[in-house]
Amino acid sequence: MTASTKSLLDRLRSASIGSWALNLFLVAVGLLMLAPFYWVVLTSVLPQGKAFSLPPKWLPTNVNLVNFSEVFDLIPFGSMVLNSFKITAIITVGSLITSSLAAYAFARLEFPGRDLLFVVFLSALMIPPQVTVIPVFILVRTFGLIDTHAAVYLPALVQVLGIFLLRQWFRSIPRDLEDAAKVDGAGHLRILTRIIIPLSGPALSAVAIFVAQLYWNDFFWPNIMLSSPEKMTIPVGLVALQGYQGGAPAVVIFAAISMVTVPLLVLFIFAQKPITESMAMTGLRG
Amino acid sequence: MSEHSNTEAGSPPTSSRAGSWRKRLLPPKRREKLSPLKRREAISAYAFLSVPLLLFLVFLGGPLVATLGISLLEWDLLTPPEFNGFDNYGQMLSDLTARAAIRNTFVFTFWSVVLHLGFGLLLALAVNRAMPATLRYVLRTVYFFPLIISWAAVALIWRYILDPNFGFLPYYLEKLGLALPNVLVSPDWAMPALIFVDFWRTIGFTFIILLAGLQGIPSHLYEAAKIDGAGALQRFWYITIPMLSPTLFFATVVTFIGAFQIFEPMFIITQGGPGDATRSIVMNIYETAFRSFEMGYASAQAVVVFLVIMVITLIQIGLSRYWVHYE
Amino acid sequence: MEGARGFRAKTISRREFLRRAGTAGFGIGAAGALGSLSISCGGQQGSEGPAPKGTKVSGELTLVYLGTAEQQEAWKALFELFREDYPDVQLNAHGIPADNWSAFFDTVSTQIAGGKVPDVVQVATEGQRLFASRGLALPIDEYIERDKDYIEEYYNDIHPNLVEWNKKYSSLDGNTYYLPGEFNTMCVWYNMQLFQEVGVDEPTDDWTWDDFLSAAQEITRPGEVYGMHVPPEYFTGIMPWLLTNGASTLNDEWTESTVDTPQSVETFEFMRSLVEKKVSPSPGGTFDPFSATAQGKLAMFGGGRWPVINMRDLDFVEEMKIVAWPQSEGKGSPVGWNGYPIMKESQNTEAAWAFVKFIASKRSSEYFARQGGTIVPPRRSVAISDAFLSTAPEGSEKLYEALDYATPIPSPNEGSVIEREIIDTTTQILAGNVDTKAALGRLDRTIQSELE
Repeated sequence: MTASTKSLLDRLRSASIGSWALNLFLVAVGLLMLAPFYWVVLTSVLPQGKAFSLPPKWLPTNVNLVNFSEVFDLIPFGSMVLNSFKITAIITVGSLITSSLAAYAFARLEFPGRDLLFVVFLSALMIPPQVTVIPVFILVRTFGLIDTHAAVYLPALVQVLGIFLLRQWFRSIPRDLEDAAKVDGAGHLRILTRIIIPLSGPALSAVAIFVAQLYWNDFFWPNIMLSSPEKMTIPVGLVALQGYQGGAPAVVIFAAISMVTVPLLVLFIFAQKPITESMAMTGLRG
Repeated sequence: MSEHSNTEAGSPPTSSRAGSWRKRLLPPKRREKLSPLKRREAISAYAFLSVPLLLFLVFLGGPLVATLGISLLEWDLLTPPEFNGFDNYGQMLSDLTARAAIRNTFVFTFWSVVLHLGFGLLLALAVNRAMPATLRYVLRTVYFFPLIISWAAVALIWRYILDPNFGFLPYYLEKLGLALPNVLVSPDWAMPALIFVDFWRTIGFTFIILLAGLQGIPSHLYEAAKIDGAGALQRFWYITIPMLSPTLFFATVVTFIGAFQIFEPMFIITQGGPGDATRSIVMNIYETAFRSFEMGYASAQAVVVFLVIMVITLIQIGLSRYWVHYE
Repeated sequence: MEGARGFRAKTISRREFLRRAGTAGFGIGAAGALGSLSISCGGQQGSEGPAPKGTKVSGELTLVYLGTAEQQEAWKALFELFREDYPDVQLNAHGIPADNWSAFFDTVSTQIAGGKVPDVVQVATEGQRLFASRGLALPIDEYIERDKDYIEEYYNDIHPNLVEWNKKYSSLDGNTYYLPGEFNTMCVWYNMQLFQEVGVDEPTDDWTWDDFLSAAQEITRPGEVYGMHVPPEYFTGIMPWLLTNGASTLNDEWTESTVDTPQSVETFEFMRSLVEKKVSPSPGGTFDPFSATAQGKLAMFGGGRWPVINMRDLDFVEEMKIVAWPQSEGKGSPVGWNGYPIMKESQNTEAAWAFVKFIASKRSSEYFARQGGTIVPPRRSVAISDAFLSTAPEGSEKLYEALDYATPIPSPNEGSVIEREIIDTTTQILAGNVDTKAALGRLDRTIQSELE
């Protein structure tokens, strides 16, 4: 073995040991990142008397599912889940529709003031929610819509980022298909729905993902608008109803959190790429 | 009747940018009557835009202007509003709670950005190495996962982890000899604790962004540098950083904006306490508006938040020309 | 903003309270969850004095209370009872959510300015003096004079201290605005079952701080079982210890701060030592004394009447017993009670007064006792009756007996601000973050400046 080969092998070997050590370290830290979730699930399978003992027993011996049944007894968890689904679905579908309409107009149609209007829309990206919440609250209150789901989903139906992203995407679609359709007499609506939308799967799903994730998890806005426990979404309900009196003890809340977190983890394990990419592109670190 | 097909008429001019932007932004001169075809197109456009535009005006544009207006009033929603001029803004200067809130928010934001960029970059560099694809997938998943979970759930979880009586973190810290059992009521440690919780939740975001940025750096640059004899540190400084700078810039801006608006951990874990030690400005806005019902004062604070974010972002954009390297 | 949680907590529903406040550091405060209805005194357009006896009582009555719409149900039931006697009166209860009494009265004033005049307001001790000072209440001396017999019967059936405190503290101008109503005092609720298991002698009403400490320490297993819950809360955590050591936060006239007297410093140091020795859980967490007790993890906590609801929910009533607070200098307990002033601007003062009288009636007292309310009815006859004592721990009558030695919770006009500062300082003391004496010195100066 020549000297250079030997040193090359040495370098490879030491590189891989160091490299594997680093990988191991990364995995260990990553698992530590997940430790809080693990602890939550762990705590929720213990009866109240045994939970929260110190030091925590990281490997559970007696698993007890009593807390999970109590979740539905003590807090309106079923309603909370349905509310979250309902609101998120309305916002996601609704904002996809409004964003597509607006994006098509900006991307494909000529009209006076188009570019100025687009810039105005874009500037709204800079508006943080705290700046609009007070007048919207007053507006909602004037119409008697406080403590309704409409107060939560109506303001969210316009998604400027969605309009922006879809417009980018629409512009990149070649016009041949549309031209052909126009020759056949198709109107703009038909072009949008029959041609553009079917070709926009990736963009639509990216928008859908970030909108759904944003509003499924939103706390600030529904917390202000909703006050009846039966109307609350999951985040608002969990915070409002923890604490024994009139709510639920910590173990039950943890069971509720587990019921929401574990499925999300499973979903995320399979759909990590589209979800992270969609969320990362929005620049909404929230 | 125009002979042009719609595609020709519709596409924006591709001539040089300067000069024609004016033409594009401003409406066509009056004497250019729209042909019937174009009129139909404009009508379609307005039809398409009607709902989004209405929603925009009612829920975004209108409220922005309204907040500016309300910030000049004193209004508790029960009695008619009174015009107050800039008194609300002046009040912010003398109100100790508001000042504490702003100070806390700046401290939080500073540390958030520093930690995110620092560790996010380290993490991205570490994960950008050659490794089995599965391992990378796993790492991306575990570090990003907390972002998928709502702040409400995360805050609740950490509230119990940090609990002085039941939480396992104080317990283990004490065992390790770092006795900080009561961070939640410690004026010195409450905010660092929240900075840590926020870091735990959102580091995945910066990590993913920076990782994507790193992966976009063409490897031939590194190879060329190695051939030229550049060491690892030199390669980092002269290739990685400049090539990554647009992403770093994006990450800085985005992290700043998100951190400045922080609300949930303060609201759910410490309620701004102990005293005012962890009150953030958005939390203060919430309390001023929805606990004390001082709409005018709260609006003034919201306007200030908006201005701070805008100004600092513009400054960052301005400074970017000195260090951000675009191809 | 974070102000007087203690004031609010009394009258708002638990759920709403939790929604707003979170569970750290809240006080339950004096009067119970059922607000009082204010009855406007009778009389025509405001202050023309009471109509002659026997005038028909009719019309509409609006009562406002500090709380939310969720207490409406409880009010309705009470109204129905009232309408049995006065079927011609329409009653509405109206909850005003507010952060503290000051904000509450602001809202009431604003509503009056806007034309919505309530007839009666429910005000707990913490807010009574402030309310009287706002000039919104109608003096009821003449009504008391007109219905002397009724009022005297009432005063004879309630503890004389309540009558005296009401006279002394509730207003500064010599007029009477309130009849003293339902109240809460502080006693120690202890887990008899746990005491017996560990083999510690049960406390007696004369037990001292030393007796308490040795019992608590014997039961305490650090981190697993706590002896006593010492929360940084004004009415429930701080005042009982101060009062049993001959100290208080303010002087008798509520004009000066007394938080850094030697006895007060000694009291706070004692409270801190309990946390240090792990006899009590640390502040700042989410410790729930009721469920902890039911699980055998807590031996004692302080409470008035309100824990009975939680303990009934937890099915842990028979295992509990109530005993007077341990003493160092003497027996002590804070007390707070509800009052029902009539608004000066009321348009139906006759009906309002009828309602105030009704609240003082035996039937109403029994209603409070029966519906498992969180307050002690003022009438002795009811407070030691079956209605009150059944499904309640042994020793519940001690809550009434505490009136013998209780001290009204200091409630100057600046009460909400002062309470917040006291709670903040106590939290830091209990957590061991500050030097007790120095912190109390600073607190003393702060309170003093507020009072001026």
